Amino acid sequence: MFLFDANCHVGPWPQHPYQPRTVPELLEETQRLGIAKALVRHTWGWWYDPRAGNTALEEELRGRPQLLPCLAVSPLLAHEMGGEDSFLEAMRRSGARAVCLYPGAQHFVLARWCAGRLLDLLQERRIPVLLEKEEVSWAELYALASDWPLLRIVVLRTGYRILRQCLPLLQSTEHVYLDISYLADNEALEVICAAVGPGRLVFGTGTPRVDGAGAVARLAYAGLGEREKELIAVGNLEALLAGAMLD
Amino acid sequence: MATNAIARAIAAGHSLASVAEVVDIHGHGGPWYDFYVPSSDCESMLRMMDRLGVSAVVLAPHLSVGPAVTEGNDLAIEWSRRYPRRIFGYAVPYPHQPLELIKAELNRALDSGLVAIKIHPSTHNQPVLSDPYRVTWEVARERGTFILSHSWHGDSRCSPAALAEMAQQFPEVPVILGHSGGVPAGFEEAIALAKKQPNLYLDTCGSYVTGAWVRRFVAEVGAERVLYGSDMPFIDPRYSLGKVGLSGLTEEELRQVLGLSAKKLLTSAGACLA
Repeated sequence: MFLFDANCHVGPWPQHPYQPRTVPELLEETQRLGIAKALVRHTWGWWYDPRAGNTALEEELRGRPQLLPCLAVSPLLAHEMGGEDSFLEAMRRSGARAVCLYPGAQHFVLARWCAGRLLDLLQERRIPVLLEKEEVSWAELYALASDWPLLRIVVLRTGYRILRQCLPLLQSTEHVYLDISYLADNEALEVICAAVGPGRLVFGTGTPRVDGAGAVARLAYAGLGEREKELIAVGNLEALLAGAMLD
Repeated sequence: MATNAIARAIAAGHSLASVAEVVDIHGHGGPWYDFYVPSSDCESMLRMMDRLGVSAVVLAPHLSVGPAVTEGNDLAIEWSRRYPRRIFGYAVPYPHQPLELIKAELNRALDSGLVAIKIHPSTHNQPVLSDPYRVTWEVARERGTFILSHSWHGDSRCSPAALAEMAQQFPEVPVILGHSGGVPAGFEEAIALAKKQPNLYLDTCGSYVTGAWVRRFVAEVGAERVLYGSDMPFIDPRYSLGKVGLSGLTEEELRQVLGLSAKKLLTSAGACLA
């Protein structure tokens, strides 16, 4: 099965010497897991500086068409990202079609008073936003999806103990998606598909913090039809990225 | 990508029934208070096992590691009688009872067909180095069976070090460190202790276990003392199976970890396997 990984990083981590950390090492890992394509972030974008992380990512992924960049962005577009136009130009130049936000680690709030202009921009241009679950609560996600109902929000590494909150959230919003890197409540994937269809899930590994072999087996053994598995493996993420309007 | 028949079957989502015997040493069952657990009844778990090709599971229902040990043990007895050779049960002690009652309940449950003992010093909030659990180890020794304990680095009630001390005091009783200490620092601790203490075993069950850690467990402790565990249905078992099966272990090592290590313990405890 063609697998498109929505969730992996390159770069060094301050908390732990996770491997892989370089692009060649990441490519070895994707080969080990049978992954054909990956949406990649840089750890500097989370743990140092979004703009510096984006520059490093662009450099490191050059000439690797199977690795697509996902740029980090701060809501202080004028101060930290060189302005709105400059940020959009960086996306076009690097070929990025999605962004990632780290409101927890980077201390901002996903609300109009704090990040309104950025979220308006991402919604208008249908640019998918990746959010690690550890960076945001379910209540904050609901507020975000309610205030920006057309914003494409991809929640990563949800963990377990989630269904009592994430199922109502998925049922009451239209554009919240989850990756399956660790969607670990028993049969959660099948329960979510039965409730809202397969269109709200994307394949992700969580490399290098999570062993992506878990997600590979999770999808391979899923109690779903082949068409549903393909949507999760590749189709849903392809559609999200294709929807981004950058020109 | 996949380097042997077991890994290839897992990557393709095929049942392992024709390529390896898989025994899950760390299972549960039934609902749990702090989150919704879909498909937690034993028939649903058996359907999952059939999908994956898991021949048997050894389990302690959530009820027994939670608020109602006797009723939970009864549930394990009922399930293991309903599905012999597929479902084996752990007898669980309630450590806040008088010692004689703890011993009596464990013996009742083992006499009724449960095959080994599970303790959860964390949910039952009782340090393993205490009289209620010493009685538990005495029962295990008398009955010639093994103990699976929840273990977690930094939790003094059930740290690998505390469990290793019990293993040292009762060298005849095999002790499985459930979750192998839980987190990377715990894995290091569990490996170091297991290397010194031959009746300590590691299991592969846990959110922080990776294929690289499984390879390390096997390299340092030996595949005979590493056991496949899933936590099903607390955690979806497909994550654990993928991490073990695609870890890069050889086919022989995988056979040992996925089933043979558990079979040996179960057979020693008198369990009748298929």
